[in-house]
Amino acid sequence: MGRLGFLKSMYLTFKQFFRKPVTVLYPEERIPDFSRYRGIHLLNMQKCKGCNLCGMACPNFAIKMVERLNPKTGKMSKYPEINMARCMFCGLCEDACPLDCLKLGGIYDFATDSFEELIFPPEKLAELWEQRFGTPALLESKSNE
Amino acid sequence: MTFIQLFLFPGFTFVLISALMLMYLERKIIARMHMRRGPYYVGKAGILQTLADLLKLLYKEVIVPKTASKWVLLGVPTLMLILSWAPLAVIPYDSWYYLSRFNVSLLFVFAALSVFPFLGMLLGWGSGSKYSLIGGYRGASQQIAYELPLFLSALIPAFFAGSLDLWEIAAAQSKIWFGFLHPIAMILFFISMLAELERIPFDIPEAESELVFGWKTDLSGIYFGFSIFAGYTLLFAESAFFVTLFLGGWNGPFLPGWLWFFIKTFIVLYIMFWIRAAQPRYRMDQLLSISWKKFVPIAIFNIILGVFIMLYIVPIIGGI
Repeated sequence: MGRLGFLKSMYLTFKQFFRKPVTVLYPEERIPDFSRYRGIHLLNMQKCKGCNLCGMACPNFAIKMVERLNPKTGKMSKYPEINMARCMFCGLCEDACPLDCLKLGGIYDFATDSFEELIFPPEKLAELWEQRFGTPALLESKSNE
Repeated sequence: MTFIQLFLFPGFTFVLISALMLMYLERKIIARMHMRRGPYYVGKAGILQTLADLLKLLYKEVIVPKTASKWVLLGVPTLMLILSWAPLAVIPYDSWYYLSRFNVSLLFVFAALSVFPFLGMLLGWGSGSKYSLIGGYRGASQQIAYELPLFLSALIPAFFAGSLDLWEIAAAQSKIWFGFLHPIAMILFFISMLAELERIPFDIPEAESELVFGWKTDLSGIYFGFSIFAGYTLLFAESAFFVTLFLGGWNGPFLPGWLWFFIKTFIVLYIMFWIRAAQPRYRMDQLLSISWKKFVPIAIFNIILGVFIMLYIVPIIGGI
């Protein structure tokens, strides 16, 4: 282009002036999430057997098994509690789960001002499952089966 | 009448609103050229954003550094703001609307403009900071280098019109605009004007990556606002000056004169914003060599060319 190279940039900017901006007004508008996006975990507590394979697969030790009373059997059984501050969203727990009851969903904005709120108990993960898939996941919810 | 003009248009109220609107338009237009959105939240489509910025500057504390001279640091921005209003007084917005008119108003505009390099240098020195000092020196050398081609180009309309009165220069362009009669002078004036205003691609005095904000680095609070306001008022004033000299002032068909004047001024401003969105910054040595080695000889040659245009082309179109 040489000396007249500046005309190219002038043309480009002028062309952009009549186009729609690509910026998304984030809190009001969102880019629709992709189905394979790895965000916050979703847990189906009704399916989960507490095998701890997810906890063993986790390279960051973000998953800790906690006990909850299962109303179906009347016994205490184990469910994963996930520390989002340690999690790096690699998806190995999802691959390890033999019952497909732990999945990584599309939620990516979960910043809080306290460390405790970043530790997600199984009930919270199950609520997110219900919001996303619409199928019952909490222990108290009525099962389809 | 004069009091109303001083207060409303082209006085205080107009200067304030136009500077705010120019800032808003600049941000919005450049944002659209960069595929962004620009100011969005304050007011409808972000129209009050610059007003909010001004209010923020009013609330902020004025900090005077230990090494700075207080009178220089606080006095110079105020003086700049006042001086930047001076060119607006003599620019004819319409054949019947101007604040003041006298036979050397072209020289008056240049007298007001030629103070700015020294104010910038004084401020850079008085701030007591190396960034401000280097910025001030750069600004002064740049503005002095470009004042010469600016003035020599501005002489050509005066020469065509046979007067140094801006009103008569604008009135003489009813048949043909001087920009079309002598386009080289118009382009030279426009580029020199960009350098004079320290705008991209000639914003070397406030090169953000090298000097923090040039000679404005140590200003804070409303005094920083003053210097920004002075810059935008000058931007409007010099665009209006350009329109008066080369684009026929208020002359134009169908629409009223003042509307033509503002349409032309807006187009000039738009081109300036456009250049800012598209062009990278020049280096200091490139900038000065462009001025002294190219623009000044061309500007002197332009005057000779202007004589030939006056002698041979103006009779063809039947006089000015």
